[in-house]
Amino acid sequence: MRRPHRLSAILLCALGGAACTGTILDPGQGGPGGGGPNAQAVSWLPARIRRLSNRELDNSVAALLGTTTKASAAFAPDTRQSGYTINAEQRVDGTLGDQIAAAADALATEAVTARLASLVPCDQAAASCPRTFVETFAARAFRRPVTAVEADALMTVFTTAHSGGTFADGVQAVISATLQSPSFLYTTELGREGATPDARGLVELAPHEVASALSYFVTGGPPDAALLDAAAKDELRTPAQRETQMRRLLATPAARVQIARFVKEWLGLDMIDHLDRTGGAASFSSLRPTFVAETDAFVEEVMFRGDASLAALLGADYTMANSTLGAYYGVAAGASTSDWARASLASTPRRGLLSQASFLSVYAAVDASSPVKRGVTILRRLLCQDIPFPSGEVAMKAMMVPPKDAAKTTRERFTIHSTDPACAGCHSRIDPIGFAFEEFDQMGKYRVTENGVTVDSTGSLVGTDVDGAFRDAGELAGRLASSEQVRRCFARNALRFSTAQTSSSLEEAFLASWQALPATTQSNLIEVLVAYAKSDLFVNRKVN
Amino acid sequence: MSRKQTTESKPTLAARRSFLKWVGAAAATLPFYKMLEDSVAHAAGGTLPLKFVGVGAFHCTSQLYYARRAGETDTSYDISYADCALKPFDDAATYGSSFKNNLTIFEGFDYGVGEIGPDGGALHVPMHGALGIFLTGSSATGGNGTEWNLQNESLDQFLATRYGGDTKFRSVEMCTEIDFAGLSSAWCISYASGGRPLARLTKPTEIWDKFFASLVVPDDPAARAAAERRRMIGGSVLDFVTGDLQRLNARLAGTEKQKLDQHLTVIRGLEKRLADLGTTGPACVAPTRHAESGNPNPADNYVVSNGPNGGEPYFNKLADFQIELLAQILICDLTRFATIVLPGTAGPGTTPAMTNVLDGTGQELAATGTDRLIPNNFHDSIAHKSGSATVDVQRAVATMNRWYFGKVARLMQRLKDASLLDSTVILVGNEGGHGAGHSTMNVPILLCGGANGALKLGRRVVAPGRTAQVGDAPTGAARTSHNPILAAVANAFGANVSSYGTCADARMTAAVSGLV
Repeated sequence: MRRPHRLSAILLCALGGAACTGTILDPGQGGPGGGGPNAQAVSWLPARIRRLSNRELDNSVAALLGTTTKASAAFAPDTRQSGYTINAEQRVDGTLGDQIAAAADALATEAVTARLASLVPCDQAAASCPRTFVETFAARAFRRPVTAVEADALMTVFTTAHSGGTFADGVQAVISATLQSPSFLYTTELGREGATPDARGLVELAPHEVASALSYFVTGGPPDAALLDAAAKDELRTPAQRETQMRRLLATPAARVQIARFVKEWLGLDMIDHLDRTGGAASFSSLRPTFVAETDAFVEEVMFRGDASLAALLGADYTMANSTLGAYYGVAAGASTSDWARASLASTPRRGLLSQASFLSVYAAVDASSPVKRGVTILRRLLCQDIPFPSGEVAMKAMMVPPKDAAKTTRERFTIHSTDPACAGCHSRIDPIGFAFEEFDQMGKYRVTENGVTVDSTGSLVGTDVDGAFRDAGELAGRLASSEQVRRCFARNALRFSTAQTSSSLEEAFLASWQALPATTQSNLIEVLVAYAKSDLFVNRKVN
Repeated sequence: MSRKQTTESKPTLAARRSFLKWVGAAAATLPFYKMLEDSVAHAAGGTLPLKFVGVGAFHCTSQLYYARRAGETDTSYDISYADCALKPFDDAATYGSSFKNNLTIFEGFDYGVGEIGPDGGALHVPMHGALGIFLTGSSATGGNGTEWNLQNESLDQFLATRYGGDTKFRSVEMCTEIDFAGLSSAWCISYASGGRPLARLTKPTEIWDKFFASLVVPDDPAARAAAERRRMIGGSVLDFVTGDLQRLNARLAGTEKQKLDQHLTVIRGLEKRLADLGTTGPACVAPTRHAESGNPNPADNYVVSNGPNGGEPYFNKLADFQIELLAQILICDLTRFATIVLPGTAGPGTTPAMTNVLDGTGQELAATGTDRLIPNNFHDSIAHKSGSATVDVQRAVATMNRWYFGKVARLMQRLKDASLLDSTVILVGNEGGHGAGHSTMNVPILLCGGANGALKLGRRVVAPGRTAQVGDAPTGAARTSHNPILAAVANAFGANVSSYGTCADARMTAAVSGLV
C-alpha cells in the first residue's frame, strides 16, 4: 500500500524583527532557524467521533425520512473551527439535547402521519413486520448494519409504544429514538470493532465508515444505496475504488452545494445573511439574495465547468450575473432575473471572488467601506498570515474609527495608520490591500469618487511572494491568484474542511504530499479532493 | 441520599439531617420532599442553598463614571448620581430597594490569562474574543479574530457539576441574541469541560416550554393519562439512547470520551426530568408565556431572528422577558446555576422608540430602553470612540452600562422579593475594559447578591498591585488577573480551591485569600 510522501517536519518561523509580530503559518517561507531537520513527523488524524453539523443533520434527516422539514431549524448554531461548521469539536450539550429531542419527536410524528407506508417495508399485520421495520430503518439511519443487541433494544421501544397504542405509535417511537441516538448524530472513525492498531499505531476505517466519510465529505449527506452496497462488498478499500465513488458523487447537485459551502465558509461569506448595510440606492436585504446567488453560481461555474483552480476563483475576468446583477455591475448579463449567465468583467476593475458584492459587503462597516476588514481578511484567509489585534497602549488609541469627513475619502481618513509609527508596523501590510478595494462601497457598488474626491485604489503588496505595486483590486486579485503562498494557504484550508480539523502538523504533512502532486492536479481543487480521498490519510486513524 | 454541601449554616444542616431521618430515606425520593426540606431548613437556620448567576455584557465602561470620585474610598462612595454607570444598584425608586450593600465593585482587574499562550509566551486574546475568559479564566491555545480555543469549564459549570444535582435542571444557559456567528469565545460565557462553548436558549417561548410547561398539570383524566403514556414512551426512548451512548462510549478514550460523557449527562438530565413530577420552591408560579405575536399587549410582541444586529429592535423587550424567566426559574428552584448573555449591540432601527432628535454632529439619537437618548449606531459612533475626552461620549457609554446593570438590578429585585437575594451570587462581566482601545484591562466586573455571608459585599475592591484613581482606571501593575474573583466565588460555595482557570503562568490563576 502506498504511503503519503514523508518529508522532514518544517519548523514554524516567526516574522523576525518587525513591529508586527504575527506568525507566518506557512513555513515554506524560510527565514531564521527554518528548515532544521526534525524527526520524521508524518501526521495522522486521530481515531475519533464527529457530531454532524446542523446542515449535515438536515440532509441526513431528509434522506432518511423523505421530509422537506428542516430538522435543525430550532437548533443552536454550529461551533466553528477556523470558520468551518464541519469539525470534530461539535458536541451535544443541555440546550441542544432538548432541541434534538423536540425535533426528533416532531419529525417522527410528521413521518408517521405523512409517510408511514413508505417507511414500513412490510405488511403491518405480519408478526415479523415490527422487527423487519426496526432492522431496515436503523440500518439506514445508522449508515451500517445493526447488531442484534441494537435491534432488540429498539424492539423494546417499539413494543412499549405499540402496546396500548397503534403500529404507527411504535414506528413513531422508534424514529424518535433513532434520531436522538449517537449512532445517527455522530459519524465514527474508529475502525472495525476489535481491530488492533498496526506497527504505526494506525487502524483502517471500517468499510461503512469509509462510505460515510466519502459521502459527508463530498455531498454533506449520508451514503446512498450504491455507496452502502460497495461498503457491504468491501469495495471501498483501494484508492481506485474510492476514486470511482468520489467522481460519481461529485456529479451530484449536492456536491455543488457542498463545494460552494466550503468556499463561503473559507472566506466567511456565509455571514452575509446576518448583516445589514445602508447607504445604497436599494436596500441591502433586497439585494442580498442576488449577491448570494452570484457567488454560488460563480463557484459552480469555476469548479464544475471550469478548471476548478484557485487562479480562476480569485482572478477570473468573468462572473455569473442575472439581469439584476448585470445592471448593478454595469455589465452585459443574463436576460432576466432567473437567467444566470457568464458576464464579462473585462471592462471593469472587478476580478474573481474578492470583487464580488458578497465579499465586499461582508467586509465593510454598516455605512462605509472598511479597508482594514478587507485587508485583514485577505491576509488571514488567503495568505494564512496571522495579524494580531493591537493591544496595550497601542490599542488605546488604535481602535478609534476615524471620524466621518464629508470632504475626505475613506483612504484619506485612515492616513494616520501610515504616519503613526505605532500603527504602521502592521498597517503597512493591511491597508494597501484594503485600499485596493476602495472603488467598491459597503454594498459592493463601483464608485469613481467618494465625497467628490476621486478614489485612489493604487498600492503595493509587502510581505508576500508576489510583492509589488498594483493599480486596483483587479490587478491585486491577479497577483494573489499567482501567489504560491496563497495556493498553499488555500490547500491548508481545503484540508481543514476535508478533515474537519484544524491542525498545523496535519496541514504540514498534507502540504508536503500536495506539493509532490503533478502541477495540473495541484492547482485543481476537485483533483486535490480526489487525491485526498485516495490517500492513506483518508482511511487511516491513529489510536492513542 | 447524599447532598452536596453548599456552605449552609450548622443549624440548617442539622435541621436537614433530622428532617431526613424523620421522613426516612424512601420518602426522600418523593418529588415534594425537597420543597418541604427547604422550608424546614430555612426556618431552622435561615440559609438556603447557594445559587450562581453569570451575566455577560458588552461595550466595556467609562472609567469617568465607573471609578470613584474625589474624596471617596473603598467603603465610602456614591453611585446614585445621575450619570453614574452603576446607578441602578442604588435606585430604590426604580428597583424597590437600594442594592448598594449587596454590590462589590472590582477595579483594575484584567483578563491577564488572555495574554499568555500555552507555552508561556505572549498570546493576546483581543477584546472581541475575550468574553469567554470571563467565567473560564482560561488562556487560549490558539485562534484568531473572535474565535479562541479555551481550555477549561466555566465557573457556572464547575459549580453545577458539583452542586447542581438536586434540582430538576443542572443549569441553564440563556442569551438574548441569536448566535448568528456561531458559538465562540466572542459571544459565550458558559463552557463545558475542555473549554467547549455551550449552546444557549434564545427564545422566550422555548425557555418557558422547557422550564414551566411541565408544571402545568392537566385537570382531566384523559389528558393526564395521555401525559403518563408520553412519559412512559419517552423513558423507553431515552433508555435506548443511553444504551447506544454507552456502547459507543466504551470504544472511546480521552477527549473523544469527553464528548459522549457530556452527551450522557445531557440524556441523564432528560431522564431525570421525565421521571420528576415537578418539584418547585414554595413561591413558584409559572410566569406568563409570551409568544412572538398575539400578546394581549401588542407592545409585548417581538421577533427572535437571525436578522441584522441580532434581533433589533426587540433587544430590550427580549432582555426583559429573559430576566423575568430567569428570576422565576430561580424562584421555582428549577436550577441554581445560570448564565445569561445580554445583547451585544444597539444598532439602527429601534422602532418604536426612535426619535427625531439629532445630536450636534447630525447623528440620530434613539431611546433603546436606556434612560437617556444615545446615538442610534452605538457601536460605531460611541463604542469605537470611547477614548474620546468628550464628556458626551463618556456619558453615552455609561448610559449603556446602566442599561445592562438595570437588567441585573431588576433580577435582584425579583430575588429579593422572594427572599433569595442573600443566597444568590451574581457575577457580571464584560468582553473588555476599554471599548475604543479594545483593551481587556480594567474589565468592569461586579459581584452582587450574597453567598449566605461567605462573601463581603458593599465595597470597592482594587486589584492587588494597582492603586485606585479618581475618575480613571487604577494604575500600577502592568498586568493583573481576574481569576482570583472566580476562585473566591468557587470557595464561597465550599469548593476549597487554590486557583481557578488555566494558564502557563500559575500566578495568573492563583486564588488571593481575603480578596472578597
